Amino acid sequence: MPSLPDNQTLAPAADDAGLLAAAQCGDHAAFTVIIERHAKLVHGYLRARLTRSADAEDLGQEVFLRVYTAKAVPRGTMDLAMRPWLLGIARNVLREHVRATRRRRETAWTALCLDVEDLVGGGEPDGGVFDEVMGKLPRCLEALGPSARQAIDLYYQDDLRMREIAERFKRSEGAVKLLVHRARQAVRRCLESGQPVANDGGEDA
Amino acid sequence: MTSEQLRALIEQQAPADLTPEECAALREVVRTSPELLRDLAERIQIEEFLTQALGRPPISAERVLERLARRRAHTIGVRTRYGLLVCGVVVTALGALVVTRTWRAPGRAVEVARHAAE
Repeated sequence: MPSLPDNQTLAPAADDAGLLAAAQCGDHAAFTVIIERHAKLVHGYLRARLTRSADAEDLGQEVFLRVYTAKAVPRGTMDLAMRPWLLGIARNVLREHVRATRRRRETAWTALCLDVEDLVGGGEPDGGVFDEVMGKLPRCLEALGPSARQAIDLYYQDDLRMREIAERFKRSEGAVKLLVHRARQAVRRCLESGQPVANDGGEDA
Repeated sequence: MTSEQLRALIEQQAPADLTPEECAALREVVRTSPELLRDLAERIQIEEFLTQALGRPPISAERVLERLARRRAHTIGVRTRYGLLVCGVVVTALGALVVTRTWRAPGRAVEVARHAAE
């Protein structure tokens, strides 16, 4: 394994290939930059396909552990090439998790998601899509009504269950599910059209 | 469950609230229903985008490296135990070989002593 000169660390602006090489030589700072750059991508991919946040955390660490110890690194591992590679590792980790977990209740959704990926082609998403969506999403979220925005934040940011959000809102669980569902639809329409959709997210539901 | 009921289910239920039976029904029908497949793919994608945008990934270099250290320690432990087991088997086999080669039955020893006396 090549080594860096003593006390040399790579600046955060370095490309992923350089950072990865440095990380594998023991540059802790380079590894931290790789994780900061790609953790949201990997965590989002895993969390959407796992029903327990603890599993998403565990498998997220496993993905980056495999990155750290990878012997074969794809050529030209610039940002856009790194993402499909990372998602490929994440997909393998998910498959192994489904095989290894006997608790069917916790893996039924994951197995379904993997089936869907296989059926729609299973190809790694274009790395550019992530940047595009992350660029549009803040505006789409801002267009939501206050209750809808709060419910979305509690669900996706704070990782609360619908039942817990309902308790906070002092509403029924069904009403909160509807609120989140309508907010999600509004965000999806906004992402598709590029225009924020005026939506109260079913505030009166 | 009909395809329409399943489509309503994936739109409104949180993934964590789906039962294994509902997931099994979705897995079966999704293979033959392009509409359900599209709805499910869109649902997973929007979940992914919202988590990527809003989620706080609980991943850090320290924790990944701690995990690596634990795994290496475990691997070394397993190898050590395996090595000790192999050594134990080899020593036992060698011991057994030495004993069978050098051990003489008591009757044979008496006979040898008698021959020597004569």
